[in-house]
Amino acid sequence: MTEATAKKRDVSFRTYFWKRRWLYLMCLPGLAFLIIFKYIPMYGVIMAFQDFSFKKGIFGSPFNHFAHFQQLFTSAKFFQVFSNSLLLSVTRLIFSFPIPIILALLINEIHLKAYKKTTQTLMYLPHFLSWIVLGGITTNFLSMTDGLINDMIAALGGQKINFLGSTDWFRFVIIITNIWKEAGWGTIIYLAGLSAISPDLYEAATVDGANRWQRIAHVTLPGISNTVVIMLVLAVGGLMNNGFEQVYLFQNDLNIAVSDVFETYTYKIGIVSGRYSYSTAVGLFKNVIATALIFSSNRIAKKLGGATLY
Amino acid sequence: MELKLKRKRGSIHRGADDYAVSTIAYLVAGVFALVCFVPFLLVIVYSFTPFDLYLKNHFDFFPERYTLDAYRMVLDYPYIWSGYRNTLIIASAGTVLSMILLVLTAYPLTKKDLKGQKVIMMLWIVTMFFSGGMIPDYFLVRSLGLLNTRWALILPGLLGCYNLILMRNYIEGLPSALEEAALIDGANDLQVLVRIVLPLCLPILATLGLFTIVGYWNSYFSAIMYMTKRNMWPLQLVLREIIFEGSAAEMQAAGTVADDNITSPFLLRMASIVVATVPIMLVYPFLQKYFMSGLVLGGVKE
Amino acid sequence: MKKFLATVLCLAFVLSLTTAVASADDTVTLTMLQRLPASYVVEDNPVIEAWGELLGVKIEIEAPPISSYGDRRNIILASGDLPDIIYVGDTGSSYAQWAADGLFLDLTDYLNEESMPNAFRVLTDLELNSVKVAALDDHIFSLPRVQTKPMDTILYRKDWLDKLGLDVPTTPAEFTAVMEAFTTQDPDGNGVDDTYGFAVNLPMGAAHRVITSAFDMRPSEVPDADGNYQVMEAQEGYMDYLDWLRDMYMASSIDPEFYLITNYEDRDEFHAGKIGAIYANTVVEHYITELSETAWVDKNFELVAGAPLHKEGEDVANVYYNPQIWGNYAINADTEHLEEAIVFLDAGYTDAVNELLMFGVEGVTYTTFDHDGHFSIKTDEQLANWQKYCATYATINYQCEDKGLLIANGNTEEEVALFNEANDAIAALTNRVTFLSGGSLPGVAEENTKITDAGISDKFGELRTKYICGQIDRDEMVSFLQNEYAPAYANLEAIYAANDMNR
Repeated sequence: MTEATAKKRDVSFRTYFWKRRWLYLMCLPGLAFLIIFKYIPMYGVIMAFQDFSFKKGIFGSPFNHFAHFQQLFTSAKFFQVFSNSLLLSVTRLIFSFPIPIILALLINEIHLKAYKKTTQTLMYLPHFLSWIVLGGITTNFLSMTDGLINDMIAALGGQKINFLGSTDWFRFVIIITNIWKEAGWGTIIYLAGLSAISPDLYEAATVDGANRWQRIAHVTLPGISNTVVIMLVLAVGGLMNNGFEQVYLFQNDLNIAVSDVFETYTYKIGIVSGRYSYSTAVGLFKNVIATALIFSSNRIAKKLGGATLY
Repeated sequence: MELKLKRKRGSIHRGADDYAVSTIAYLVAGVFALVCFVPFLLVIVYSFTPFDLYLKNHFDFFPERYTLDAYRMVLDYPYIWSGYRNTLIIASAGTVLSMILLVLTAYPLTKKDLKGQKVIMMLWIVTMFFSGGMIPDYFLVRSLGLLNTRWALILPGLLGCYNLILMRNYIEGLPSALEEAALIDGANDLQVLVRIVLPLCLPILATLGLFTIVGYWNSYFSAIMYMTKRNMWPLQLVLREIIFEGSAAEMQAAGTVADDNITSPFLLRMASIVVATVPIMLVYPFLQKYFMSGLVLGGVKE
Repeated sequence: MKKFLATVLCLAFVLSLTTAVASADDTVTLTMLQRLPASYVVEDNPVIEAWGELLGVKIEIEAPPISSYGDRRNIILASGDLPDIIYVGDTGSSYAQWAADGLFLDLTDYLNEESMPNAFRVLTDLELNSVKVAALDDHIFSLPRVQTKPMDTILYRKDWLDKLGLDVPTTPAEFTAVMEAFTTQDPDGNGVDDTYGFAVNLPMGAAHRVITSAFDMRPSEVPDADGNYQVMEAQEGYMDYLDWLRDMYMASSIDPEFYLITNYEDRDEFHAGKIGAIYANTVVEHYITELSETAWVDKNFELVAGAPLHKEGEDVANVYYNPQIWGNYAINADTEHLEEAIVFLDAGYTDAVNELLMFGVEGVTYTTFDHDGHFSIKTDEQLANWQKYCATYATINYQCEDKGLLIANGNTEEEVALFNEANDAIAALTNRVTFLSGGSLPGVAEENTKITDAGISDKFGELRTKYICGQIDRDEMVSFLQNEYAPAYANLEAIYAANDMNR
């Protein structure tokens, strides 16, 4: 590279920077936040590789390298916990991911403003209730001795089902209650996307002769497809998480074989021995897997031509 | 792509398909809304029901006796009003700042041709999964001198990668024609952002604003770490305490404490839920009009 | 220039004033981290002020949320900003680790007649066992908060017993009969078959004490006559106990969904009138305490407390108890006020301080206070103050110097007499055996972790519940206990033997 070209590159970079200075300036507060509050504390991750001592702190504690991970992988429970976690979250993804989308589409088709507003507000309510409350109500519903559902089944001549105390029904209960609690809230993001679809497109389709179903299929769905793909990629990234409160509430001796997931496992470990750095290690393991998941699902989304995370 | 047209061109009257879709929509939405309302209604009813009546019948919507004791107990707690004040301040200040930061950060990241954009985006995504944990966070807040201030509850969670991704995605979905037109007319990037993009972002800002304010409203864990004074506790923390104490009193009370006011944690929990969530739920109706605003392209509204 | 001089003089004057004021008031301020309920007001608390005056110090208390006390304590310990006195609330491996790290002051040399006379007199060796750190030569790094345990009992529905003409059961066989009667003979007289005998509360394990004593079971840490240790679930009596539960389950005397209980839901069932017996440690509280409408007792129920069940042919139940340690207090190893902290902690073991913390200040939180009966008379306003300024959690030791209960059950002399009478009656049928649990021995935490990680605990829970519910047969249960469960505990038993536990 001659000096002339180097200078040219230099100048062109400076002019480029100056031309787009506003964009770079806009990045600054976010970057400052990112570095200060997210990256400076990052060193805590090394706790997963240490025998943490409170007095010595993170920088003084001795390293035990992969001892925690070794313990995790060799524990007889690990495989069970891992498969329980994954099975539960994948099943939940398959069944509860489409529900908010369908609900949002349906709400979008309601034209009576008052009805639309009321149903929406009511649907958001369970999101604000904690699992302890919903769990209690669910138990009352599904109990074998005096639960409404089982009473109805018996009245219709069937055999009472042990929803709460069997390995067969555990996932079902978790997913249904999850939909109950979060589907309404989940419609919000899709409704926001739906409101961004230009009414012109609908008019054009109608004039062209498309019926209601076709309008939904060819205007509405493509309009929110980007949002759907992004939400799906994010959901895949969350496949390692199952939410402690909900699982812990429905877990009992009779379904423990399928109900023990990472969150309840680390909780019990914490109670038994209060191992600080071990739970950090388990968390780190989960997050590494989650990162791999999200990068691969993002790749797939890119290949399919949809919106991507980056 | 050929549309298989189901109707004559130009006809705009309602057909069977319209009624079908409408019926399904109204029915499903209505049923689901009802199913969602029932638990909340039960919570409200329970908060007024004397506990023995609740135990006798879990689904009695009209108990024969009512009691205000649970509410009296919750609202009499010494720190409940300071809790409300703290949470209101944190939630409102936090959400406003968060939205400003969100827009400023997301907009440049939608410019795929910007040098360094990809790197910054990657840096953000990494934070979605990896974090240092409680102890480094504490040391950071302490060295910033934010211990025992409300900033400690506002700043660390100010911008999440989740919101960033959704905001960015939304802006990308806006038609670029408007921006391009403005740029040609000589506007700089900042003016484009403020005058063109921002007004179009109202639905997503309302959405993410709602998520954020609910998030701040429900948070309590940071307060455990950073606050030493009880009158700095946010609302949710106070309520958790009330419920915990109710059950702890049960466990420790037997035979050793002549507590003149043993209250079942169940009723306290119900009352505290109502006290804590009714305000935040009232936020949604105010924001609703922004969800409905839609694109103002050509002034056509739904 | 004049102006400048004037401002300098003013400043100097103000400065000297403030330093004068500061140096005149040099009482030591002790900082304390305490576990206190949400209703407790820390600011401007007359009880705390009186506490300080009593000892000649100023007390500043930080009271984190009680529901997450451990998290806040951990942060404080990790950050190095320790206060002078800390409520540790842990006597297990974390505590041992912190002691080894040098976070807490070594109290061994102070626990004697000269430095800490009160604590020295009140605390017994058995109670001090939990705060000794074995890895550090059994040195003491905190003082235990001991509680005098009231009697464990089983509460029955007296009105049901009366209606069916039954007496309070004293043996397992009698208990079975009563439970069956409660289930089948419609004791609440509503014509509907909706009652059960009781519900097995597995998570709140302590409940076992009251009904397991009749089956000749010893805790795992207690050796048999020959000095051998056997984990409790592998003892013969344990299978007898499970059989007894299973028989009752199959006869439908037990709530069929008992395995859903995670907390105290069985109490809810009891107070809803669905079951007729629960484990309790109340003797008369249910009828002398005024409860608000939000509380759990239906005032129309009549309750009676029965003693723990004993074996056929004997007249006393052997109930095993650990020393009841409800927390522990440590002193910061780097405290600047060592002497004052020692005196402060020691004073916590006196009646004077405990009565102050529990009953408060005369006129503010009570009108009169009966020293011997341990109860106080309060007006409504004083009651409100009492709830703000006093708490059982605030005490450093949770018993009187004579090991009696710190607070009586009852608000009048009659009620207190009633309580004592009933308490003595139950005590006559109970033989309390104190034993030490192995929790703080070195190596125990690791062993327990190994057992959990191997999935043994989960499998045990699953099979036990299935056995009680009749889903698996006896051979399978015995086989698991003998071939998988007991061997997993062999190392623990060896640790107990090596330490001569409870010999």
